[in-house]
Amino acid sequence: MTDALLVSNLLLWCVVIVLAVVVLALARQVGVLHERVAPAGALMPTTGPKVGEQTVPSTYRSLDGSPVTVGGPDGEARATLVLWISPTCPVCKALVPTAVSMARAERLRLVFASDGEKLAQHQAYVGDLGIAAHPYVVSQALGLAYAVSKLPFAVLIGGDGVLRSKGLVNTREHLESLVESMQSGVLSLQDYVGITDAHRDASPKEQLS
Amino acid sequence: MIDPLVGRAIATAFALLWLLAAWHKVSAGERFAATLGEYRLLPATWTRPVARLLPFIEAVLGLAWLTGLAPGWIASLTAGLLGAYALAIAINLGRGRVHIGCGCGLGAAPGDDPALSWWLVARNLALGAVALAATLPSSQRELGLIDGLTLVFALLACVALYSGASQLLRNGAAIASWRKSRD
Repeated sequence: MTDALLVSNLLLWCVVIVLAVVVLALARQVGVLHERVAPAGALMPTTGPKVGEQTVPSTYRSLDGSPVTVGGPDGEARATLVLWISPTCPVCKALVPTAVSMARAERLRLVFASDGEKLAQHQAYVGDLGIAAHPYVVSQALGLAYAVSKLPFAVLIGGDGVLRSKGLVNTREHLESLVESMQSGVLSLQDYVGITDAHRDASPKEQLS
Repeated sequence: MIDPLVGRAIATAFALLWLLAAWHKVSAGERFAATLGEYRLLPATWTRPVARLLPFIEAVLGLAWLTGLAPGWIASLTAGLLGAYALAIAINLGRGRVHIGCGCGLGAAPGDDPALSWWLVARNLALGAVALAATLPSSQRELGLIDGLTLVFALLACVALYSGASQLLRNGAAIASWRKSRD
């Protein structure tokens, strides 16, 4: 009798552990699935500081050692565009010249941000792209503060220190849409689609009647 | 009265929990310091020393659980530290700063920590209660080979379930971040 119970107990433990591992594997698969099928057009993440909020000024050290303040009202009332890039991200490389020319045209203060341990790699990257004239901050804290998860990512802070727009930017149009958003007051592409959807929903009924 | 095996299982599980938590905080030291700063509970100059100190305290607690010295004190300290973490998370949830990582992962996991949620508060409080349960008086009996097997199996099951629960928290945060994008 005791032997039977013992065997049954050991068998049950094995089943419990296998089941627990299966549950873990399933949960991981669901997690991976979420990453893979994330909405392709969702330009604006919902985490992090919200558009319209006052940003808190924080000072970071740029690659050449000088202090760079991001957030808060700007002394010259210029808007600040912070663009997160990385030496390992091919899209970023293509976007940098666009950002530089746009910043010049729109008279924005342009700050590049990145993170990672290898400073030499970042220095070579800055040299390659010819962006030594702009501050380049290597800081994980800056990325965490604005909840940056995917690159290239940009935030636009108005001259008054209010967060005007932010989002994942892959093309010139995306970058321009950030400035457009600041000037027009439409928060994001999602918002714009929402407005036009509402408009479209209302109009067909009028045509039918 | 609890069985001595239950007490032993709790002690070993907490030793594992604290040592892995300390390892996680040390292996990604910069990241943890930044996360701690994001909690916005400490003056900025304290962030770095506290970020160094916390994994040290956790490692000491983990070793103390293993050695079984002063079990009453260790259990209370464990519950206290977990309660303090729960309070820190609750304060930030109250402020609406739900997007910051919890900084509560285990092991040398390079992945992201789950974002703050009330589930984490509940988890920490439940863990604290389990730690306090270890201080209950235990009955006396000799532990044999079967008990050793039970201990190992129970630990394996705990590790798998804990990891599964953490993964579900991350999934939950991912789903929540999409849902909000519609309104």
